[in-house]
Amino acid sequence: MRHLYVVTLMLLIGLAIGCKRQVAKPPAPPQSATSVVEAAPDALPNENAASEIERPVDTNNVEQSVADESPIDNLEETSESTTSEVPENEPTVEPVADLEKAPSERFLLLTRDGPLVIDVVLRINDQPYTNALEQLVESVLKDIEGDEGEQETWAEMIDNPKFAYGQFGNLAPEDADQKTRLVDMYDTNQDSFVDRDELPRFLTRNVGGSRPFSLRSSNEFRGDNRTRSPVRRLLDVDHDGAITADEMQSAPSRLFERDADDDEILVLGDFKDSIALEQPQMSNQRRVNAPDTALLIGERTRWGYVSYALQETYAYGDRVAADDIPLTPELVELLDDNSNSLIDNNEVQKLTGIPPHLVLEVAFFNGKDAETSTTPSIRIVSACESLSAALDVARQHPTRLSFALPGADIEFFVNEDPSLANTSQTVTAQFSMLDGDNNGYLDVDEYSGQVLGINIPFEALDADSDEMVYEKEVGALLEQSQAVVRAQIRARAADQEDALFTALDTNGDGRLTAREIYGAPNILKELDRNQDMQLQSHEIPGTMAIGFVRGNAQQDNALLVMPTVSRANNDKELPAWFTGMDSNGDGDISPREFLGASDKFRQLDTDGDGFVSGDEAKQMERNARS
Amino acid sequence: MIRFGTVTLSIVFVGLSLSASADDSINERRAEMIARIDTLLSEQWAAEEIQPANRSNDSEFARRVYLDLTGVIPRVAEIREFLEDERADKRNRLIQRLLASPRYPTHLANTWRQVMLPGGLDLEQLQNVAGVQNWLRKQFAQNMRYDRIVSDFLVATGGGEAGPALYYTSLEVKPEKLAASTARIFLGLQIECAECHPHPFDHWKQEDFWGYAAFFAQLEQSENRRGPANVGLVDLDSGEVTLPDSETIVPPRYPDGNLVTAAAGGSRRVQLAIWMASRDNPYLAKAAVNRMWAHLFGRGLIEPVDDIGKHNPPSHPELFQALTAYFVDTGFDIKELLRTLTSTNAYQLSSRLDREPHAQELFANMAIKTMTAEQLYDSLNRIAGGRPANIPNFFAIRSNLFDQQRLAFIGKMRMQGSNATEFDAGVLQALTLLNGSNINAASQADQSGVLMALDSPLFSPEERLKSLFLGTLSRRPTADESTAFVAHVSDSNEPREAMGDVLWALLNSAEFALNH
Repeated sequence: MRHLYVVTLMLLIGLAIGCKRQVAKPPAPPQSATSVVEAAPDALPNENAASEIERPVDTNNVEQSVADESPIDNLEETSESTTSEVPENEPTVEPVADLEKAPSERFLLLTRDGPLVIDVVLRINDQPYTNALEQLVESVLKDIEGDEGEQETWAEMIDNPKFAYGQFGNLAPEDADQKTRLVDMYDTNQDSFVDRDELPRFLTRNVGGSRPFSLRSSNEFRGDNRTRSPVRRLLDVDHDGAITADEMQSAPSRLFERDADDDEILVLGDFKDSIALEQPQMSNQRRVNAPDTALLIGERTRWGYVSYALQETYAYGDRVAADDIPLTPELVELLDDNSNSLIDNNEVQKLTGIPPHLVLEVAFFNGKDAETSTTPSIRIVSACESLSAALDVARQHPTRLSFALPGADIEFFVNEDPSLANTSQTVTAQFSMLDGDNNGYLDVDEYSGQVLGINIPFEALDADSDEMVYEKEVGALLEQSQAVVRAQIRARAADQEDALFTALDTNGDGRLTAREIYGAPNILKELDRNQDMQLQSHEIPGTMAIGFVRGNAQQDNALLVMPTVSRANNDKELPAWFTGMDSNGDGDISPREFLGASDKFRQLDTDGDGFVSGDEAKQMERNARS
Repeated sequence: MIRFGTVTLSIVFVGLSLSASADDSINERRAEMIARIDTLLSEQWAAEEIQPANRSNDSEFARRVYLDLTGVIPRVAEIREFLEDERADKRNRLIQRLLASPRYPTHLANTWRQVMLPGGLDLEQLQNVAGVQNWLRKQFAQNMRYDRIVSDFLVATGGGEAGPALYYTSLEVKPEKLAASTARIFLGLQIECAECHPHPFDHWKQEDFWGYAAFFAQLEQSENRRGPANVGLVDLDSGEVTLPDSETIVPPRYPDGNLVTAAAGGSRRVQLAIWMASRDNPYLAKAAVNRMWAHLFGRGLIEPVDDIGKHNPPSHPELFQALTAYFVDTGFDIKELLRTLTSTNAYQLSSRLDREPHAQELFANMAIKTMTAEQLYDSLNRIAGGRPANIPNFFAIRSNLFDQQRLAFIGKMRMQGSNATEFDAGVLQALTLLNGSNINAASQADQSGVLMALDSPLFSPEERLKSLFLGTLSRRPTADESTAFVAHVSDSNEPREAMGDVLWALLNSAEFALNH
């Protein structure tokens, strides 16, 4: 009887603790693990002239290969999971009307005080993100199979003039030996025929594990972004490890010393002294013997690694208890099958089925010109009640959003290769360069053998074989070469390098403005949790960033740059004169930017804070009208 | 307890007194040097029966000192504040403020980077260039002693000091190239003429050149698997130089002719660095003083600035000697030197002369200097309003050297000559100013931030014109200018475009493009 009572009580407790939804019901957990942490992209035959063509990654030996690597290694050389199968059924292509049914990806973000389960609904052109790659595979199959639906061999396909010249930005073999190697590389089942599930790898060159979505994780600054913060070291004048009251007061003058161009704006790069080449703004470095910052959760997740990451991050290698993760203690109860109040190794797999703490939507769009192009966006769809306080003060911009949790500031952003946005201009410019006689088409004499960086013979470019290549045919080539890039979304999660910079950046736009710099002493005092006027590094919240990008994978370091946001540009009601006078675009007019006499500045600065804000400018306009 | 408090108070009082007296001593010494400079120049004018130019007006002075110390013209608000300031010592206050500005070390670094890496910006070496410039900026921001800067520069090995180490690789770590370059930059000596034969005008022989080059003979670039730009340097235990076309090894020899003694420790570069900073080196301070004088006055006390020698005496020997001694006595303090020179009456003379100009080396009027391409771009940008808030590159540092628009402009506008007072512009430069995208962005009504700003109901037509003049020429318009330009705008059906015309005219004027 007593046993029954205890079981009943446990069930009731479990039901009561479950994470309450704050807004709309989130979408179901991912239906298939379609995303992986990517392996290295395939090399072109002529890129590795002196070495063997890379084989598909042997996932059975991944962990071992990771363990053998040097302590800090480039993410390019790591991989975690396997490729997953492409569905064999004909994919349905329908616009998504209901977020609950939209395919999404789930990942675990290991913040300082506890892991967050985050679902991301990904869209490309208002369709599920999986559609783009599926559609591309379909159209390529149609091209090679023709109307009769005859399956083509790899050897035939590589010789097919529609693919032979690297039109998809992939491999263009130069000789018979390279062709043989290509066939060997992509015909994974060695049946000589092009199969549907082999095509993605050919088209993507195994970028992103040939999947529509992939996630990389950098842990280079895990635990260091507070102690090694360049801003903290700058402000700690006497280098005693603490920012004292005097140092807090002198913070503005110390910060302004780094404003090399004196434009009253500081970015993180202003705090670096020596040039550190090949070091992107968002780290791509990974320490092998330390857990990742973010982990994909799905059918093919390496659960042993997830368990290890949780234990190492929160419990010094032991099993995780609720006390270890004060931010999300309910996770223990949700996963704890055997009621021992710990997360055992075999219990982590339940992460696929529990409600997420946060649901985001990331959207990319395909436009051709300035009128039809839309910048990518990111937004919060729903969140757990325990995050509601933080999200109430979240800083939301179209391309980035950030919020503060106990112990960590979290920033999400989206970015994409600008060349994907304005393709018509690119095509027109390229065509004009080639059309020497300006007659509106290229004939064979005008054509040099290369267009848009692709070496392609005239005959292959001349789609309708009329011996004239028109601009639309060049446009078709560009569209084809960008199709793969448009069909994949990659993400990177990393601890940011400078936690104190992020804490001072109160509006989350990636810059320290004059207002924020002058406000630094107050922020520093607020961070001093025990109010002993000694701001220690452990009192500074950590900061993490997760970026979602689309573009050529070789440009990832350039794409994974936090987009800065001009506050002024977002407010369409601001008078034009205000925007014009705000020369550094920080959303305020400082005394140095003001073009009029100082008494006029004082009149405008009605709150006397030393800046003319957008609101004060609007008020002035209203007063003038009335 | 009372005794303890009394003792503590006494110590504090003594400390404050000592500090105050140290400051007084510096101020006194500076005042003496300023007076000495002006006296020595005046004596020569008197001897030559020359009437120097008048003292510059406030606009002239402010614009000049902003450009010379920070590399950019003042903002509208800044020049307005200075012109309205009625304090007698406002010029000295402005000099102090500019030397404390974050742009000062940036400008000085840019200036010295161009000295160290002449020949324009090689786009393929841009990262290296930025590294050198950022390292220099750090030294100038800390007001590091100049002799220490030179020493650190000479013994750089890379890593955290990636800046100076990259300078070595730009010269392929070749002893003869490093010898020629460092001698020119730090010693003001053009000894490369003696590389192949005795110097035609000076006393340098081949042995002197190669003896100096020998200091760089035991050096090589270390292998670094992180990439070619993360350069490292390694000092070796062996390596010699020989005279050209011979097997004769030339041991290291300082430019003063002395050989390195057996007792001297450290690598050859360390030995050279020690000598550079020592009192035995008569060249370092002279070269630095001469360069700083040339930077401000448009011409050195010795011209060319990197050709110091008996064959090329200074225009004012006593002045040069006194200033060099002063620089050494103040601890090779570059900032103090600049503060002293800009405080002189000579520096504050007008460039305007209502008679035939005197020979430049008399410094009887301020020489009109060309703006460097960087100064021109940054000044255009300042009046145009705004620059990209985020330079589109992913490098871990932010350097305006990666600003593609700035690079393109500099590439077009860079003058070929090294004489700051000669305007070597051609058609390309003229067209860039007339029709370039920067000018257009600044002066077209639908693109220009400043024109949008001035369109505000806050301003009357006169106030708008005044702001344009202050922002471009750093002065108020004359009555005639005001009448003419205001009428041009008010009579126009498109007043904002008409204002753009005014701005275009101002930006294309010689008064804007020159540092006078």
